[in-house]
Amino acid sequence: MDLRRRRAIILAVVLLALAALVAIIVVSATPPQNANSRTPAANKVGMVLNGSADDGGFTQALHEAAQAVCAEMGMQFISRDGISADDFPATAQQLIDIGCGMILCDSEAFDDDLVELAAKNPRVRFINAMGTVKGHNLASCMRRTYQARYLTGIVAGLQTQTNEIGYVVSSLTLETIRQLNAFTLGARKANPKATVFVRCTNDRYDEDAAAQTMDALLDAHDIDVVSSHAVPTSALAAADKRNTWTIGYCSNSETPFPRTWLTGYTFDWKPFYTLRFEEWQDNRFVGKQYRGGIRNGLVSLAPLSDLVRPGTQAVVDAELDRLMNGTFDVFFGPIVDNSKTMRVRDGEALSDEQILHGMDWFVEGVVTE
Amino acid sequence: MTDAKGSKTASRGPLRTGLIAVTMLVVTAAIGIFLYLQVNTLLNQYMEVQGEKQAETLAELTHRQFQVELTALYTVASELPQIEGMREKALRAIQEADNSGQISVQYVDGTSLYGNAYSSVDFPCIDSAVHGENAISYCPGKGLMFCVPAFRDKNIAYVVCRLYSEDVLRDRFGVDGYSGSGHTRIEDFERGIVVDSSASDQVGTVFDEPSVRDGIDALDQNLYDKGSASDFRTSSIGDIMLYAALIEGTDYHVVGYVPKSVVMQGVQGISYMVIIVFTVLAAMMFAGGFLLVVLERKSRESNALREAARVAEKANAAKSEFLANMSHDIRTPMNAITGFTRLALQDPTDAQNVKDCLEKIQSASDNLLSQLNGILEMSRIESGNLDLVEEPCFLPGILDELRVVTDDAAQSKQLTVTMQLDEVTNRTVWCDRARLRQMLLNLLSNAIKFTPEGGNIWLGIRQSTADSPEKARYIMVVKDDGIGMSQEFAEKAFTPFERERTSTVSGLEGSGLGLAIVKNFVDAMGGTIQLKTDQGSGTQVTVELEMRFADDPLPQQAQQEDTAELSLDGLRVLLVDDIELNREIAAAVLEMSDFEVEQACDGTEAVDMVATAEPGYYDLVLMDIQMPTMNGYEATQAIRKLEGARSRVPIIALSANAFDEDRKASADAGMNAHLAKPLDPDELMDTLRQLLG
Repeated sequence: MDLRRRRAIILAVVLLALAALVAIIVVSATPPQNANSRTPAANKVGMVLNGSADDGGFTQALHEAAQAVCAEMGMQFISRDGISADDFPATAQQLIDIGCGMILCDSEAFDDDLVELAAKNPRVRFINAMGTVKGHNLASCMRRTYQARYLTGIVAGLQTQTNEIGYVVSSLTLETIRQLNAFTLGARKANPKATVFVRCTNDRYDEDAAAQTMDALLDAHDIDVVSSHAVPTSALAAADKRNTWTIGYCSNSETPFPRTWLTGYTFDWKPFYTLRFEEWQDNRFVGKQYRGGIRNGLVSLAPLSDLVRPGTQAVVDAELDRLMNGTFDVFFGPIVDNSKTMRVRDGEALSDEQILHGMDWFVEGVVTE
Repeated sequence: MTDAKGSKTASRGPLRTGLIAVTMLVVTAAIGIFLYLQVNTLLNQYMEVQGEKQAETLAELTHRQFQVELTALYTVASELPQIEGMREKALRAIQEADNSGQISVQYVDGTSLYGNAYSSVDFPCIDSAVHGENAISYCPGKGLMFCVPAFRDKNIAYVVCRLYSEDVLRDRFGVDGYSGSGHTRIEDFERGIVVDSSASDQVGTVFDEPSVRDGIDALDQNLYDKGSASDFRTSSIGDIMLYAALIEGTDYHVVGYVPKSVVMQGVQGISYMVIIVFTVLAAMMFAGGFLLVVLERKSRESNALREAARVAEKANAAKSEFLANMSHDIRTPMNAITGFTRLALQDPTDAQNVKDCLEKIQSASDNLLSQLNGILEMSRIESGNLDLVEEPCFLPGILDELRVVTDDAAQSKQLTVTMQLDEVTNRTVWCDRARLRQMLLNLLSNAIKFTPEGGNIWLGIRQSTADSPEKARYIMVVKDDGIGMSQEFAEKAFTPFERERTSTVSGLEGSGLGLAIVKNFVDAMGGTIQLKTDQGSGTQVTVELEMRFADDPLPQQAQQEDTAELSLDGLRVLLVDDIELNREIAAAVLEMSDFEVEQACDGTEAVDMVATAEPGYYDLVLMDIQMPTMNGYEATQAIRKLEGARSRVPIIALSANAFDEDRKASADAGMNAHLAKPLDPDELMDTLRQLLG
């Protein structure tokens, strides 16, 4: 009996050892991580917009471009607009949860949340069309819209006969100042005597305020060319009613104000998005700060209308060439500010850092009211 | 006791062991193969991880090199605006310090300040530098350019560049890895090879092979997930490991290959070692298992032997003990016989004395005979020869007989014996009558023996229902209020040769076989037996037997006390026995019963005498079985072959053996009945009545 029990014990031990061996092998046999098995990128694209998709401006351009590229590449496109910075994380996560592999945004206001979101969802790609953050799966784009603005300034400078140009903005931010300065530099280049009078509506979306501000500006000065930024088109409409030449943003080749429209600046995000989407599908997406401007067609000058002065096209083309071949950029020296301080010497250039974050001064020729 | 199962496993053993061994072999081999494959897979994975790390290292190395380059340029650039007058000299010095790259400085508008002027269309890094950032660009055909801005205050005054032309790139920035066994390129997704590998000098490099190209594409696609990737592929030079990693801060990545043998160096040994160890362990396991089986069998055998030895020894000891006791028990009546015989012979004329002596001798002989019978019965039981002979038994009749037999003994101790049937509706059953009777007698004897004077003994038989309608359960209880047994003894009461106290001490005789015999009968009849006892208050034995009903016997056969004595006077008997003494005894008995006796001393003579006599001359033949020349069976057969009525003369066997087979043999031989020696006149009478009446 004793021996039988012993035998049973030994048998049990042997079987246990065998089982343990098998278990170890099975457990340690992690399915060979095929380094080449990649999860196919989703083909759902989500867009979260701070602005509204039909603002007739930047956001609309972004939205339409994304939509068009998705259609072309056969991807599903879902967008949400008018999302405040507070609501952004939840909205974006919703889109991710329903399977979006790419999230597009339009605002610097989302920057901080984007960093967190990108970290939390490493398999999803994020592109902020504005903003400066970048990460492994987060890209942003810096647009040199100011290059186009500069060219519109050229047109304005050549056009004005009173040498007084009006400019309405919602408020004076780094962004609006930048555009304003570029515009003024262009105007003064074409017409050293030109002055740009600037007024703020203090409300980005208030149409009445925009119109009123424009009217007040026009009342106060002898302005014959106007432009605007970050305000509803009602501002330009008000100017148009008074037969003042208008320059602004246009999203297509339609002339918004046939009687007064001179030219405008446009965006074409399609090539940019197409490239990024291709990289995403090929799993080559890089989270870096992209730069787009006149040179790669992200920003461009709208065709000049017939109302421009003769010779304007030639000047514009010359300036365009300089921009295109890299020998010139808008914020190359010499630049003097409106308090007569030399900001950029001749032969020098303003750094991007300064352009984006440091331009809290106005170039000579700007008069803020 | 032989293990009945033991013999079966012994024959199945080798087959079963073989089957188990083969199964284990297959399983072990499967595990071994699986283990080998697993180890290989793990090693491959490990190698791939190492490959990724190597690629990362190479990428990091390249990154550092680039950083060093940029930093060096940046140092130059930061000084330049301050040393306006010394510019040319300083720049020339720097150029000469390292002539592999071309230093150039240009203004933001692209005009040259020193060295060549480059277009930002060819080298986008210039554009970046103009806007304030260090950058690197590669232009196929022109080379790799590093650009840094030179700041004056916060603005960019110039752009300082160093261009490495195509032909120096390999030497300046090439990395290979694996101590030169690897071949690594620095590539840009869009523009292709930036820095080629050391294999570029070779014609038809491995990089261009389709399968390798596919592998690299696959790697590239995984690159961005982890920052590095690696995989094994086959190429014209054999198995190779591809690896790739992103270079930080640039759009470039390293990609390369190394022969698998290089990475597997030393590691291959691991998988072999694992296999060897596994094989050794498996072999050890088998050897151990085999040893276990062998040892187990040996131990089982020795166990069996030991058990058998133990049993034998125990039996032997019991037998020795029994013999010791028995010889005493046999000697006692023998002593009585010899003693009283001598006593009688001392004075044969004293009739009363002689009578007393003879009575005592008779009692002692009965005792001796019953002991011997018991021993013989026991030995037959042990040798397994126990066949039941079923016949209809009239239970009341058996009780009557028991009463008769036990009467004297009970009366001498003034014991009250009560026997009854309780609710017995079927009084006749099929069973081995002799054995049933013996069993009840044994129980009663024990009760009588172990109950002191004035005690009480009960025998009751009760009927109860059984499963089938033709049977019933008969519960037979023998109860006494005697001395009982100790619990200790009660447990082994049914063991042969066991007695509570040896008869020397208690003066109670017994062979210790009574209960054992009873138990054997009960077991053989498929019944149960229970013993309840208390020392000092008595013993109760309950036997339960299932027995089939039989028809009650016809009244006249049931009544044994009935009828006129059969007239047997003057019957002539032929007595056949080869031993003269036996013949004398038997003759004497027969003559006392008024038979006329003739004698024959062997079978031949008997046949002769019957043949020559008139038919019917002999009324009966009493035939001994064991005789020389012709034994009783043969003689009977011969007589049965005689002509006429002679052949039908009743022949009763008279034999020392009265076992079933003997009875059967007698019947087979043609005898009419079978009696045991010594001849019991009453039994003879009964038999004769049955035969002749």
